[in-house]
Amino acid sequence: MKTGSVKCFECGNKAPWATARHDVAKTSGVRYSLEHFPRLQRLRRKMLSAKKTICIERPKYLTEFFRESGFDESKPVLRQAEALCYVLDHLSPTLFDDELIVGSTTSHRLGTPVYPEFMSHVLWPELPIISRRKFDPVAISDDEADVLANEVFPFWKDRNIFEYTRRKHNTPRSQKLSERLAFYILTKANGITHIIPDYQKVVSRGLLSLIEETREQEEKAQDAEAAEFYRAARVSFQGLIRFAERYSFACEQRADISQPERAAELKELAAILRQVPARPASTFHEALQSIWITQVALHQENSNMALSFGRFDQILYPYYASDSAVGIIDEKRIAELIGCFFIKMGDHMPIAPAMVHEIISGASTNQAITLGGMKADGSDGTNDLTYIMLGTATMLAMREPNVCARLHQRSPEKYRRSLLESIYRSGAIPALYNDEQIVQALTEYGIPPVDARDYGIVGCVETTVAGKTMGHTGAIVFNLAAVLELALNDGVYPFSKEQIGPKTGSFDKFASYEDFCDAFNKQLQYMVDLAVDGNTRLAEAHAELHPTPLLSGLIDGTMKSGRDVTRGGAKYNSSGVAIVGLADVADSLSALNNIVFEQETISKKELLQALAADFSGHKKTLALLTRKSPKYGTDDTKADEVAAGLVELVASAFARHKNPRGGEYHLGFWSVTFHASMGGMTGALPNGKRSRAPLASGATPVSGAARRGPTASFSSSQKLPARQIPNCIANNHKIPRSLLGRPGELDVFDSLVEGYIKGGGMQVQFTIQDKKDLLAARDNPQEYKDLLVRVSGYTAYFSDLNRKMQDEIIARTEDVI
Amino acid sequence: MGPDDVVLVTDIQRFSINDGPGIRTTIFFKGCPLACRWCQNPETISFQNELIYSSEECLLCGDCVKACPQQNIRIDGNSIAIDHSNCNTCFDCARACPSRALAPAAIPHTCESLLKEVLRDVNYYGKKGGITLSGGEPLVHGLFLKKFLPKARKADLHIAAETAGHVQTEELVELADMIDLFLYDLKIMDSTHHKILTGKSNEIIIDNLTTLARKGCRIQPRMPLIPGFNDREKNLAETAHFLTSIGLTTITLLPYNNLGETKRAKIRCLLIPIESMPPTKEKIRAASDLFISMGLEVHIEI
Repeated sequence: MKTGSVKCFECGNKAPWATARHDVAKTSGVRYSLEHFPRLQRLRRKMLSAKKTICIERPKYLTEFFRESGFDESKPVLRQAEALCYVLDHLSPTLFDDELIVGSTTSHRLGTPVYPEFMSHVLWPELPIISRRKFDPVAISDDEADVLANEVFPFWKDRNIFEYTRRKHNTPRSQKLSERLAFYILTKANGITHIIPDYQKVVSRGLLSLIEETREQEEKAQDAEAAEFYRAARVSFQGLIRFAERYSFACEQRADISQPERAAELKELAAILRQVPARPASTFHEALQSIWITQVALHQENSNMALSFGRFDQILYPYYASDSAVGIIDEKRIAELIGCFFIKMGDHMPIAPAMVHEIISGASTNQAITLGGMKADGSDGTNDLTYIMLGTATMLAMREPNVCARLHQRSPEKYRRSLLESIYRSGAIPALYNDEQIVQALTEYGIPPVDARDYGIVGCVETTVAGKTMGHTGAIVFNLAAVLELALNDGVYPFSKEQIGPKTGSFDKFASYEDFCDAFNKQLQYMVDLAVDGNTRLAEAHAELHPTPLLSGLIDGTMKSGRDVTRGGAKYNSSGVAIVGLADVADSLSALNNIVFEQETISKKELLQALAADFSGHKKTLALLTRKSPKYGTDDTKADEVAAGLVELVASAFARHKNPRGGEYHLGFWSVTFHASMGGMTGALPNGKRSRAPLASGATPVSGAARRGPTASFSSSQKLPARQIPNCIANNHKIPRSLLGRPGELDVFDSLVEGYIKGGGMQVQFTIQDKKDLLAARDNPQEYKDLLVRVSGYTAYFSDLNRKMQDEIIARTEDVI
Repeated sequence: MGPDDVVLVTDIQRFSINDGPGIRTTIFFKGCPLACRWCQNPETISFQNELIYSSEECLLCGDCVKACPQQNIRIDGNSIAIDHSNCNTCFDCARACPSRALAPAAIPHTCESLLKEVLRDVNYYGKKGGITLSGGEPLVHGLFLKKFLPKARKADLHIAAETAGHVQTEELVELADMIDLFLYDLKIMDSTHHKILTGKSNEIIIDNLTTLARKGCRIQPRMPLIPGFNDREKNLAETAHFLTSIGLTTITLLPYNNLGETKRAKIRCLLIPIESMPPTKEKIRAASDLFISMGLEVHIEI
């Protein structure tokens, strides 16, 4: 990107910390911008212009391993460790010019790894056209496509998690219903990586120390499974060390004396990779490299979806501090290293069949980093790195990482201002998280405050204790609006007229709103039971087919329990749920209560007819439902009570279950882009939602409903019972730039955010755009390639979104015009 | 409850960021002694409640026709016709209207209900924000405000008042102690001209501003800039001269816009509309330059 081409924000020109006047800029007296970092400019440009290409190395070697070694069912954990090692030992080390952080997820600058043991087989039919398909083309050579089609996919046809579960349980109803994508979606078939590995442990102890621990534990293992686990973890740690050594060797080889400067860099990298991740990191550069090479290895073991880094500024601070103290590094070099790391984070993308692109529009790998917030002891943890990382991410303005900033009431004002400055400049990052509410929610679910305070963000918005939780935070995506439709139609799904849910009575026979609520609750419980059943079966398949020893070795609790994380070995064992459709269902329930049951201004029969006709010919009914019924998002006490009650109801439906690892279901209200896809499979609703129109995103009010401005919308959100929502909410808030003042004069914005945090808001993410910018971007995508928008829990390039999603972002409530 | 315990409020606007510093809640009181021909909020002129009709929202369903006990409403082509002269403001029609095309212009508030509303955003006011009394002319509701403002001050709210200044001086002086900032409108310096365009002459307005300024109140003088009506150099110069003579150093210009026209169509409005267009950038610049040349600091609200 040419920095001069940035139209909507200036982050390409000025680093935010330059105007935030924080310590680093002050001490150096230098104000940095991308022009000060030619290396980052080059890397960034190359990454942004790289062609997404399928890499077949991983699936090829994985398949090769299993073809040669067989599939040892007696030692599943060790088997997987050996398979991982085989892959790591064969991948070609891939280096690019200018890199200061090396290790490539695939053999391409921007590659998509392939996971045939998960859902990759769905690409099979598309392989011949995938490089030419209209949307999201992914390059692959014909030869490589042949390898996938003839060698890889056939082998995994019945061995992937999805098929394995289907066969084992003879196509269970819970799985069948998930495939419909209308009611709930079970994501475990695609992996379990919504998780934060214990990177603190990797950098501070090093793998050799962990290997030693596995030896000690194996000697006193309580049973054969534990002994196998310790051995498997050790084997995978050793595989990772060899992987790093191979990179070290490759760097050495690449050092070309005709380019002395680059040769010196490569030699230094070679030296670093001989040290880490085997040994504890001793410098900032070593710590970063140690984390990245580990992340690359973890992506060879598990799918590249939402594997997140946790509290990045906290983990790395000691290395920053000691390097600075001895003067071997300055803040510009720190920013350059962080920049190299962030750019590297975007070197891989998920791959999806065309149909799924309609569901997950513009999806990235959602690797989140968490900044700021309170430390485990409750004191404030903001440090110099917090600002430098924030500044670097804003300066780069790229899709990765998903920057998440924690706030609490004692966060320094300077920090809060820097966050707002970044949001104002970038238009999207970072998302803000309220420690007080989130710690309370996690504590409510049995996590002691000292651990809860160390939460990090996973993937989009989910909150788990970093390094200690196997939480698969996106396990179930659940359409609450579908439950409402079943309750209105005696269990029948209106689009197909099938009896999906139990018969709970025909709507026109309900004597009271309470009777209807009973029916709703029955449908809810039925659907929850099915979703949980499906999730359980897939979880069991993971434990049998795909234990994950490297990841497990890096999650707290497993060294003590001697169990893989897929088998309950982690310290905390939750499962994450994303509920879609909160605002639409809450507003629908309000309308039913007020307009249909209480005032009887619409008869039950008329309502059903209007819904069936998608309000065509029912203008008056539509007007009553949209104009005369209270709405969530307007700070209306009655409407907000309904929304809060709905959260409680859904929470209690899930609280009836535990996952097979003995953990609880953690409820979240976020939707990525599922609100659009699930809305597309939902008919007209009593809040006035039209048939197939998108649902409101996350815990955000329905588009156009929040007509009393941002403070009223925030007040509604603050009334949701956060303690029931340990998997967090996504409160997407689009606000016109013109409302917030100018950079450096963000008083109004600051008061708005301060008020939201103070009043108990849980999470908020802003899209700061003017409508005309978005319209222009839609019509001239080439000129706005770098326009970032927050979709719903992640940041995407606007031009990557499909038209429907673009239109939805454009239509999303501009609170005040 | 006496009549002074209740006021009519046409709107309580949260997240107001152009009516004083910071994030504010603006209360629009109903009723104004002036009737400026360019009024942007004509529904706040009458002291009586009245019916608002938004034809673009109307479904022509006829429910209002059935609901009106006076038989004042009939369907007339693509709209409804209301006989306002016979309306007893029972608002049965508004209650019956499915689309809120018909609505009361104001709802009555007590001190308590108003306080409750403005406290909703107390977390957002921060160090600078607070509440703004607006209207209509808020300061004519002296008896109500003498009950309300002490409660608001007790809640530590910053209080601003948007006033046109046409109020009794003793009342104003009494209220001034409870108001942190006056946003004081000046329109036209020539009294006769003022009377023609606003219905009242301007001596009280001039005197009151002088009194407040002498008293040392914080005042932000403002002026709507209406091409062809008050933007002549003479009026601008006299305004500037007056402000500097009483020791005020700033002026905020509010360029005219014709949003008021849409609102006028919604009520029974007796104002004779003016024919003016929003000022061009050049006109705004010219006015601004003139004020600057006379030593005033100029702010322009867009």
